[in-house]
Amino acid sequence: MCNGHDTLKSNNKDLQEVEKQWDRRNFLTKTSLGLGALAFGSLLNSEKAWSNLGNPDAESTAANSFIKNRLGLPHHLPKAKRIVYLFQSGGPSQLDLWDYKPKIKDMFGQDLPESVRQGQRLTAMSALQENFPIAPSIMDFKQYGESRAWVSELMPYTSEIVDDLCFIKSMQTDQINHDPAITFMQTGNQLPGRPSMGAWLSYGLGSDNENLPTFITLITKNMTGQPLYSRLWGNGFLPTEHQGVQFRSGKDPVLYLSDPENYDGNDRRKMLDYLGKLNDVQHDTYGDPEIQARMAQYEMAFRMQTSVPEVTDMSDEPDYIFDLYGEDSRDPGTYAANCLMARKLLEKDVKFVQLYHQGWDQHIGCPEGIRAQCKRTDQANAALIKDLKQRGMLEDTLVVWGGEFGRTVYSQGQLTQSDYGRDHHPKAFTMWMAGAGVKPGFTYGETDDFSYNVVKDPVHVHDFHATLMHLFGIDHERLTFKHQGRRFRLTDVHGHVVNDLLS
Amino acid sequence: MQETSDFVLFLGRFHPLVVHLPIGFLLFAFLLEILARFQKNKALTVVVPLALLSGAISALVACILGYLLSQSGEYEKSMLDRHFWVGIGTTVVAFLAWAIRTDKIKISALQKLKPNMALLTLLVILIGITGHYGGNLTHGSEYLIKYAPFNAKAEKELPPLASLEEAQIYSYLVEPILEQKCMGCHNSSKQKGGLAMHTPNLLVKGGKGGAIFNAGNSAASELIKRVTLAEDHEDFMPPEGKTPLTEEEISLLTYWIDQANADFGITIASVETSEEIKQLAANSLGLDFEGEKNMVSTKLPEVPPVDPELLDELSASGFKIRELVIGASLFDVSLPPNTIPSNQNAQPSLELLLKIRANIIRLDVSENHISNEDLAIVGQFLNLRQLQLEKNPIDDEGIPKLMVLKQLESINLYGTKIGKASLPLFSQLSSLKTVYAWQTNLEKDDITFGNKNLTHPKIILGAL
Repeated sequence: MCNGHDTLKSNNKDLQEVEKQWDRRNFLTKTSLGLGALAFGSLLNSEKAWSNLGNPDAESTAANSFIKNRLGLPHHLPKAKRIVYLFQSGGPSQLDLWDYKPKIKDMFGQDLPESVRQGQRLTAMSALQENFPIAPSIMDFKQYGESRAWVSELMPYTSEIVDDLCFIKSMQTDQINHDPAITFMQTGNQLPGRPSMGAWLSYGLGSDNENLPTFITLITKNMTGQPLYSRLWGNGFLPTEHQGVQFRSGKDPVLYLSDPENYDGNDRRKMLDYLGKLNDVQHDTYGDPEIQARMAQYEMAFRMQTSVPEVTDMSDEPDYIFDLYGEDSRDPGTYAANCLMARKLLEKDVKFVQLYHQGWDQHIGCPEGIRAQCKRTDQANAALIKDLKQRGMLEDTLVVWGGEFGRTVYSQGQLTQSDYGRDHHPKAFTMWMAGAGVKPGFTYGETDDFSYNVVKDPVHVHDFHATLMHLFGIDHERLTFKHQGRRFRLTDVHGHVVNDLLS
Repeated sequence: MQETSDFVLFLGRFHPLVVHLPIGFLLFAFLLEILARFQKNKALTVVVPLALLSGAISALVACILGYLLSQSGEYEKSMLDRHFWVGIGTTVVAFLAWAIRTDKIKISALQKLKPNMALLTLLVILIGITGHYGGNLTHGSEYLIKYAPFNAKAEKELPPLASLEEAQIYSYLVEPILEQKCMGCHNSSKQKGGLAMHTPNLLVKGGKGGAIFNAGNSAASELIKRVTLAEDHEDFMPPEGKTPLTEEEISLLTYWIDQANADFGITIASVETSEEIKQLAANSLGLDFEGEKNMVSTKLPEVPPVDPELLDELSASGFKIRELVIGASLFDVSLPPNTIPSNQNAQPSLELLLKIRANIIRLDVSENHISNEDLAIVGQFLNLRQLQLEKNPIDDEGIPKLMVLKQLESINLYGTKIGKASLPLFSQLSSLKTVYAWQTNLEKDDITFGNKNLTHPKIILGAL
């Protein structure tokens, strides 16, 4: 059908110029000089000759054949094979959950000493406050497990699994407002446009299951709070097939997978083959890598028609599993159901599953707000760890819990004995990791008595990214992508692997 | 120094390629001449003029290219001059030899001396000298005899060390790295980029671009920057085709610049040295070091490379193969669930894998109807560290077949029928850290009760 278009050429003069340069393939076929032609061809346009380095998936035709990683990855033996990132959007209060600060109990209502804040820039929401009254957490803290980790009463289920967790109490970010902070956490830069962590991993390591996307995003339904834009799981300047695929929260995670009425779908394969041929012609003419990305996505969608209904079918999960994750897990789209879904996707070797749960932005009514948030998430977090562990998957699956920043020790707005609000705080917050290659039952880093400044072992977001890449066998300084004349990496020019976190 | 055009250098770099032509031609002419004399075979001599002419012309071309190459200014002057003049001499003599052989010139006074043979012998000697000087220029004057049996290596021999601590960081750790990876091009006779590294003074002086390290600050040191760039970056050192520095070597260089302040005499004992660096230093000096034990266990086995076609073959029969460290030929192999149907014997499939058994360190054959008997094959994968056997019809009778897996760190047996009888076996495997045994015949009481010997491995049961 499309064979007649093999010599499709542009009428545009500028494009013709480009075509002349691109025609390395024709040049080679038409010269019989072999080696000499090869050398000359690459001299003419060396960029193009080596460009497959930047496009590892471009020619991966045989799905079932061993393909050596074209980027030369992994650099070292990876500990992690998959990751589930439980993103708590809004900035959970480390003071009410993990970072126990008994010394400020007696300082209730006192103004935060200037020596602590040191003139640090605040958000517009509390910068105009006359004073900054210290609001000690009203939550009850206890130590749990053999590791004696401090956990507040809000996380009763998580307190059962502290011996599997690796707490980082000294996280630091550069950003004080939600969007730049979450963009920074997910892409390594505050400005939109960089590839997300999942996209980097997909680009670097490729897929372990050809039938499902490498990077899948799940968002808790019916939550409000800070907006989540698709750029947070976007591919930035990496080839498009590496962007995260968002599953809908609800009964049908992916729409229109089943065939419409009166269509049996039998000739879809044929249709895709023709479409593929047309796109091939288009690609040969213009060389736009996005055409290949689109072809890859068409094929992926085709395979997902069978793979997605299979993996999202919850009917084969026994009751005790639903009980483990909590009653919510029977309701598709809730955080608990998403955690369960995450486990099923990880079991199918999806490399990166990203959960988002909004609503951690407690500027006012912090105790009540955070209590409700914990109720929605605590049991499912613990269940996911336990479930992965009993299946042996915690061996090579990394679990990460955390938000984009922490919250202030001082109260935003009215402080009473039972109520306070907390503003954004970038200089210290808590995250935890579990599983593949991180020390279990371990707490790293310390904050001062106000959970305001890090006093020991700070871990910057860049360091966190570097460590995460390290766990996947990647030297964060060596996985780069050349774009607009310079090489980019997830950690840009920063980041150190935090070796103390590694088991 | 005047900038030389890229095109001149581009052509110049063909010099090492072209020089081998006159060598071949002229030696061949010599060989023919000798053979003709001994065998009295006139036919052989017919080609001699042609060989001589080709040799002379290609020598001329080599001279021109060599001159272009010398414009890069990367070579030591006096040595370059010698090579230059002897090379030109060789070319002139080659033309002369041709001219005499073809009777273009007749020098009657010399006739008795058999000028042809004499000139050819002279040519061979000249080629040898030119070649030797050329080699010295490219590889450094010590290259040729470095490993010669008569060459006393004493001059570079460092006194043996009593302990790691007293090793001078520069001479024992840094210099050997520079010598091996950098001094090929930055030495007394060849100073690429104007940089020589063979004496501390010159090393400090740096190259065309100035100093190459900034004592105390490795991040601002050109030396470290250049070796840590992306390998395809044009400034990356060593250049393409040469062996890059290993991570360990880079750590040692960084340590010397940062901790030892790039001092040439300081010893390990007198600066702050991390356990990690001590371990690296000990490895590089071949000393024992009682450091953290995990350094040793993380060492990867060295295995033979695998034919990619074999891997394709295995992929075609359903195995998913991932290389764990690029170039190390170590693989993570998995078989998707139910690839082997229940009514089929798993043995033929597993036996396919035996061809790469040393290369597999992680194996996942879960949910594939693997039986106790099949474990005898699994037991042959001696380098296995992680083994996933979950949801297979195996029980305590199969476990003894796995006792040979001395590297095994984790084994997943969830959903199998193993029970108490396997527990003592697990503890005999010294490297085994974790056994996953949810939904087996093992129960909580079995692992907590009356099993005081069972300090390792960890047995993971279900959550409920």
